[in-house]
Amino acid sequence: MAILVATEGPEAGGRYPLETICIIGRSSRCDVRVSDPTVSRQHCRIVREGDQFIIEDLGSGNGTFVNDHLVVRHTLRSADEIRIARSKFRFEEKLRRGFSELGHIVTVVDQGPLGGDVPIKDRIDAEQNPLLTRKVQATQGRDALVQAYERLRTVYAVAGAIGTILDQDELLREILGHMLGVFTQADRGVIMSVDKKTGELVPRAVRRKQGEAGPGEILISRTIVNEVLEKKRAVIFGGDEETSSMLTQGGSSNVRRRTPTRLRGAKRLDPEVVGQPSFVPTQDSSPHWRQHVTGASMYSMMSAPLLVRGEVLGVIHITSADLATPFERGDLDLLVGIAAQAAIALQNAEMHAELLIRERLKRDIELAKEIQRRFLPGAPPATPGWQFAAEYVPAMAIGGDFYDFIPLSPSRLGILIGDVSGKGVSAALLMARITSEFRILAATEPEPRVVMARANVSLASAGYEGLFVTACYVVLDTQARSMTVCNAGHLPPLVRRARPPSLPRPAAPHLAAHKPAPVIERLDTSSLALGVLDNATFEQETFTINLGDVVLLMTDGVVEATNAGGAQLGFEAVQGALAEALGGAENALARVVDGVKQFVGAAPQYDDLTAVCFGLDGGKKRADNTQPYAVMAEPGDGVANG
Amino acid sequence: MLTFLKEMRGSVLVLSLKGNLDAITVPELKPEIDGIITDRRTAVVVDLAGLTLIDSSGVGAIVSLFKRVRALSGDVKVAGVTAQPKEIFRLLRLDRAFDIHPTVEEAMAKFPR
Repeated sequence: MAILVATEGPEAGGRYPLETICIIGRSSRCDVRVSDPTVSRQHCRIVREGDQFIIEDLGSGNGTFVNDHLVVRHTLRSADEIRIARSKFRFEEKLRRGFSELGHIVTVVDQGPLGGDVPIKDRIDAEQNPLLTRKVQATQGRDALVQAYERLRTVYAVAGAIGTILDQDELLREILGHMLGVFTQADRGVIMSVDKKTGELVPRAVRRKQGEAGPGEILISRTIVNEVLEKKRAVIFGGDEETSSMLTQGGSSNVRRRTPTRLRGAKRLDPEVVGQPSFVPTQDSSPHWRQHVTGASMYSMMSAPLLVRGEVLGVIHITSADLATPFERGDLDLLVGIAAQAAIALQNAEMHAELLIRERLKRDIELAKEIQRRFLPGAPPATPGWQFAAEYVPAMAIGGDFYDFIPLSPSRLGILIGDVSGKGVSAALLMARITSEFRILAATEPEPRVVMARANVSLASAGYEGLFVTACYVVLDTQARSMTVCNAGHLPPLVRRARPPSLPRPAAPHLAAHKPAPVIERLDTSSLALGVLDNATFEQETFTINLGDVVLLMTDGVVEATNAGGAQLGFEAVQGALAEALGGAENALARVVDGVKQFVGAAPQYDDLTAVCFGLDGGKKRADNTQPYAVMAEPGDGVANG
Repeated sequence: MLTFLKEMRGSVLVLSLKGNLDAITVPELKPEIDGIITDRRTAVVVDLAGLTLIDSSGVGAIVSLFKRVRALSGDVKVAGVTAQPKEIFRLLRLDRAFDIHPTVEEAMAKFPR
């Protein structure tokens, strides 16, 4: 099959399958009409001659060009560019072909002296397994019964031999081996499978009586494809002296030896090659073979579909050079019977292979998750007077959440939380890279905004096209009781203030028990997400932390936690949970995470859930906050700008 | 569900997105973005007036377009972002990277003639 693809001009994008004759021009009666006044009414035509397509100029005003050469008559080759005035077309010869690890190429031939018309000697419907459906009549005599019994026994033996092999390639080799054993006159066999995605035939195994064949090209006739793949029939063809002489007519009886490149490049069938043994050794001794499955009539051949519940998995093809005992109906019956068993074994092997791939994938994901987990810190740091808590619940798929506690000095601690956009291994790798980079940057740069800016440059210039990172980096000064926050497109931190900053300080510490309900403060300082713009600038702000205050950092896995009904938890609910929580950072985090879990219920978790909580508890852990805070003196309230 | 329309208005390419731009629909948009880069379009307006939902993959796709057009010394302007996508843009502070305008016309007017 060949097509013409319009690449430039008013018809650009058009695709025209080429039949025997195709006229191109401005006239509405043309097969390919080009609405361009500089194109002649009948400009040129493409004519099929045998297996070739020839372009002929029809006396056009502006000429016909092929690959920029003016032509009058030219034999087209695939990918030739045809130019007519301002329009361009590409000539494409479409062949069904596939490639395999074996190095075989399958080409479906539907042109040439043989391709369209292979003499088929016999055919049966492969969906009706004749060994099972055809009754042997008593009148047919003992021989017929013995023969039928022998065939069933053979099928049973082959099925038993191949039924336990789970490796596909080994299985296919075994099937061919048994075929060659059962059909004593056969000298080679080929199994091709149908690629589920493309529908192409892919050679999977080739076996000769003497052993396996090397790589080569397999030509298969369109007729055989139609009969076997589409009509699901098993066929016998070739093996006939009469057709043989017809096919070799006009050609020398000697095989012309050719170089492998020439053989691979050759698209049409030379009659002298066709009539000859199907395996043509090349001039050098390298194992290149060209195997003709097209009507090489010196050979007797059988093809049968590998059928499972009406689905064709592939084709099995057997050839015999022994013209004294060409394949006959009984052999075809047996081939269909064995092919049916082979198809089931092949399907089992395929299912097993898929299972193996899935298992391997599952293992890879587990491994990626494990690696990711190792980039997260272990236990939160122990600092007298402070509580730290972290929760990380990875989703089923690999997410990109991360957090870290980075000790900077005895009184300064870096706290990082973030989320890499996207999922999967790329997100996991980027997460691993970022956490490492932050550790290094944080150790050298005291200012959070500088750390962020440098991480951003590194990310933006790394060429992760669609990936970006949101992150919030906090430097906590445990002595000064303040934190400097730089937020790059991440969810704002929430602070549960033990006491609203606007209210006066309690006159005496014991009165703190009567303080009003905690106030949630949202720290809405924010800069651009990381990795978007290499010259982005980042801002930071410093906040005071008072006794009893709790700071919550989280990823959107918390806020966007989704329940079975599709509803999202939302920011307000998180704020509510934080406000209701009693006690320090550990309790507050537990309360927030419980809130998420209750809301989500049994719904699957799509996103990583990460939250970090810290607060000043004055050195005593409390289950509740009804006791006054009396241990540490508080510095002044208010916000200081960093 | 995502529908998109690519049209040339003078020398400016306007890419209009309608529906959801998320992990599921981003692969549909990817060839269009590749095409914009292959055609070396340096003046691009992304019209998000019809966009109802965006997730991080969707933002990633727009960021990718933005970075690749900038690499060609061009610019991408964003028009008509509303609702949930507007919230996401605000959270990520994308207004600091993208030139965002209420309408396509206003965005187009910002390209040098």
